[in-house]
Amino acid sequence: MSWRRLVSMGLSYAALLLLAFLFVSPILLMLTGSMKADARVLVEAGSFRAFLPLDVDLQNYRDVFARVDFGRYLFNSLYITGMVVLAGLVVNSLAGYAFARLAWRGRRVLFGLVLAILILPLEAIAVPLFYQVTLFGWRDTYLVQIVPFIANAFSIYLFYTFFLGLPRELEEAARLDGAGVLRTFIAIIVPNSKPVFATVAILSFLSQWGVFLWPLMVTSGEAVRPLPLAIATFYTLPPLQWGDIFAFGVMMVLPILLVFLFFQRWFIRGVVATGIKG
Amino acid sequence: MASVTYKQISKRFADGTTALADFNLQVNDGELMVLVGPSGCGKSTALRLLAGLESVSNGELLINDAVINDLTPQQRNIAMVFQNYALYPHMSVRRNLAFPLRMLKLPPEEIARRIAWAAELLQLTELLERMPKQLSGGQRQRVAMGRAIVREPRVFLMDEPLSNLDAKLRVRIRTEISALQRHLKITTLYVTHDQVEAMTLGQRVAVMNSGRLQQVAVPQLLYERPANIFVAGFIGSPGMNVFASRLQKQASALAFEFAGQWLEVPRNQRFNPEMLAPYVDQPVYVGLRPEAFEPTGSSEAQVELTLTAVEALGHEQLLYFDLSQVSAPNMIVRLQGSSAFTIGDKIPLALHTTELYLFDKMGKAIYTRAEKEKR
Repeated sequence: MSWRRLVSMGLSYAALLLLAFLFVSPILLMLTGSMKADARVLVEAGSFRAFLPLDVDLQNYRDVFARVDFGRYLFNSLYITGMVVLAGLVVNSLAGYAFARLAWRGRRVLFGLVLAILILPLEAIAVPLFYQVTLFGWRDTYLVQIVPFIANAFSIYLFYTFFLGLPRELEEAARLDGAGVLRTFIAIIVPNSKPVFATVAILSFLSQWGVFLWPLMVTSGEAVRPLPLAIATFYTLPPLQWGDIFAFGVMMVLPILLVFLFFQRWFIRGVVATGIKG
Repeated sequence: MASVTYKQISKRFADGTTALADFNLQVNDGELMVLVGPSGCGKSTALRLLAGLESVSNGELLINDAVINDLTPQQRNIAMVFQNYALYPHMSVRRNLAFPLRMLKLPPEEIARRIAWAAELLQLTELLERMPKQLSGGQRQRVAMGRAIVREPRVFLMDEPLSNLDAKLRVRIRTEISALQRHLKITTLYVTHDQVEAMTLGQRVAVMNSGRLQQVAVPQLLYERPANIFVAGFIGSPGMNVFASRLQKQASALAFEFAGQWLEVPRNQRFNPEMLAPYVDQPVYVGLRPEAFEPTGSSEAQVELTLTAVEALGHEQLLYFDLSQVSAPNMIVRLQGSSAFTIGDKIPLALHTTELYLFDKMGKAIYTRAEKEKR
């Protein structure tokens, strides 16, 4: 290998390493910080030692459990997010299929509306929504944190585009074989759409796991509040202990990692092409 | 057992295109009817209407004299083999075959019995546990056939089922389909754009163009008595040569113009002077099949034409002649065997005018009444 190539390769590796470090460093900082005594976190923050797990100490984790009912919050978060994801997969896939494949009056207009909702942030409708759920008497429940987020324009759009790409003959064959619309969907479409179900599951899990504003508005006690509100108490109530915050953060990120690992083989896998053509 | 009738069917799509216009066709019980035509002629639409995958705009579809326009695909009991087979990718061959039977809610023993029967018939027994992606093109094709027959449908539809196979396999499976159909005696509609496939497979063949039926007949009659210029040009490989011409009364008989010459119209069972009288001094089209020419010594030659290309196929060769002085750009002549020709030479040709076809200016074939009745 020529010197020239070696140098250029070395440079590109160095640049890539630097970039990789930039992206990984906050997570690394959180992980190492979670295992340090509180005083050291701030002292070492200015130097490279911040990234080194100099003495492994799980005291911060014990503190988190002592200060809040972590298990309760974790259950709330898992329950709310899980329900939103599961119900969302059902509702949004059916909606996406109806828009992609079924012929019905008003389909185009309604789909246009769905696309319009894509650009509407929650903050814009939070207040009217708040009045509505108050009217329903839903404040301080799981329901209020689940139901408004099941139907999701972006998920519908993802399902819609994926279903459009599926070979129409599969559905036509199923219809001729005697399957109705719903049976065709369950027995033929769903098993061949694993990539899009995985994608939607991951994306909606991610966005739901971190919600803060809405539960803050509609809940008050710790009974139904999710993790993001609990970690917020660590910032807002003294004493401000960074080690505890980091430890909480690590425990909050773990489930996301697990979900991603579980779905990633479908997430990465491309479109189904098997069974069609030679 | 079922007969199928298309009664004045038309189909317009939402974008305004007309796929079928005033389409009438009767398929008899147990018959294999081939629909053939160029792409976009409406043949697949005709199939999809019968399957219930598209709705009829006008007219009536009947199975055994019962109107089926408003039945859902499930209620029609029609099976279809798709061009890309449409096997369910996530199911094994066995489960693919079982799917239509499970939809019928048949008892498990009956499902197993029928799968065994179809697998045996189509030589799929060894492949039952495989997934579609592990099968070759020909095997997938057979699975698609199997999924269609296990149900014992009233009508069997095939939409270009061989077009994804290589040439050799196509010929083999063509014979298999033909044998299977004669064995099962299920009324079958078969769509193809390949006229050779249509001629070899069809008990009758329906030729279509631009959404309209051109002619329905047994294969031999399509070749011998085409109803119009389209059928004449579509059936046969290569198709009939058709040229703009005129008829003229000469001393002894009628004559037609060809390549600047006046040649005599033969007097035979197809033509006689009385029936041709209305066409004298009128523009007509003459048709001559590629087989109706023969290179000959210059003394017997009726025309001399410039050779522009030669295609040697081994057992025969195709000669292309430039006829730019006539309306058609070139003319094809088919010869048995092989002999040496030089491109650019003037070749003397004799015409078998007994094999002449005449078409009126609308493109409709001119036959004597007796011939028409034969059709």
